Amino acid sequence: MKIVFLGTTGVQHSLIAAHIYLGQLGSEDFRSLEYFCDLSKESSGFPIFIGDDARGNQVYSLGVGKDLQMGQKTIENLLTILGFSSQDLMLRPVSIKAERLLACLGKIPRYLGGTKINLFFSIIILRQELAAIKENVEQFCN
Amino acid sequence: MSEMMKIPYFDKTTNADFGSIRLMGIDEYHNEIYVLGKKNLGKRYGNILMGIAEILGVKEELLTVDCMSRVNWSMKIGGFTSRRMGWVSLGRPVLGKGTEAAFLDLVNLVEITRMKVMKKVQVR
Repeated sequence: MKIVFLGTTGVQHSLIAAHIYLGQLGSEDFRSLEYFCDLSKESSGFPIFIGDDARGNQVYSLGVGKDLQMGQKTIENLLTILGFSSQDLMLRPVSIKAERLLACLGKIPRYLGGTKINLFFSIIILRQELAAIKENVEQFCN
Repeated sequence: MSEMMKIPYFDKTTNADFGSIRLMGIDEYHNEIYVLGKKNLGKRYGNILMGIAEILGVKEELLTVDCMSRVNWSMKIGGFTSRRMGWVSLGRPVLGKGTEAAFLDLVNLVEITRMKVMKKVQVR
């Protein structure tokens, strides 16, 4: 089975959630996570493979833009059309208060220092939201 | 305009319809044709769908076509006024004019897509 952690972006909170789920988040230094705040990866739109869990499920992170519910609905529709179900691909939306702000940070142009600004503020915001992200993952595990 | 209004979903969608993939029909190659409203989420949305199909191992069964490159400002403004603001009598004529102006561009996109269907390559 595939497990996809969905967020407004796939390189911030949903990426952290996927790592928490896999037990790979050792510290709050998110910079060590592969693809963290990687805007080129995010702009591609493709799911980011994070790793395999203990049951052999493939775990992904995916950003669907500012309307998380709409993205989830579209993917669920697509699964049905393609003849799959939640047994084949499970979606786990990760929603936090600052998700729209995080998405906006990614829109700051690179020539204005967008990459550094995004990274700096994302770390601060996500450290504050870490408990909420963990709660999202725990709900999923239970 | 009355002819356009006979097209299923044309200027009839509600906010709840965004994100829903809706069946329009079946083409001559027996492919199912769907439409999807994605608000202003851009080309990336097509990649999201392709990415999901890819990890499920069925990428070849899906072709996404971004129609926004053929949508002109009249269609955008008319559609927004009619659907989002609810001013149908104001927005629909503007949308109709815009659609007439964009018609050949849309036909061109359809023709390109027909060729892509044969090659099963994603239209970008």
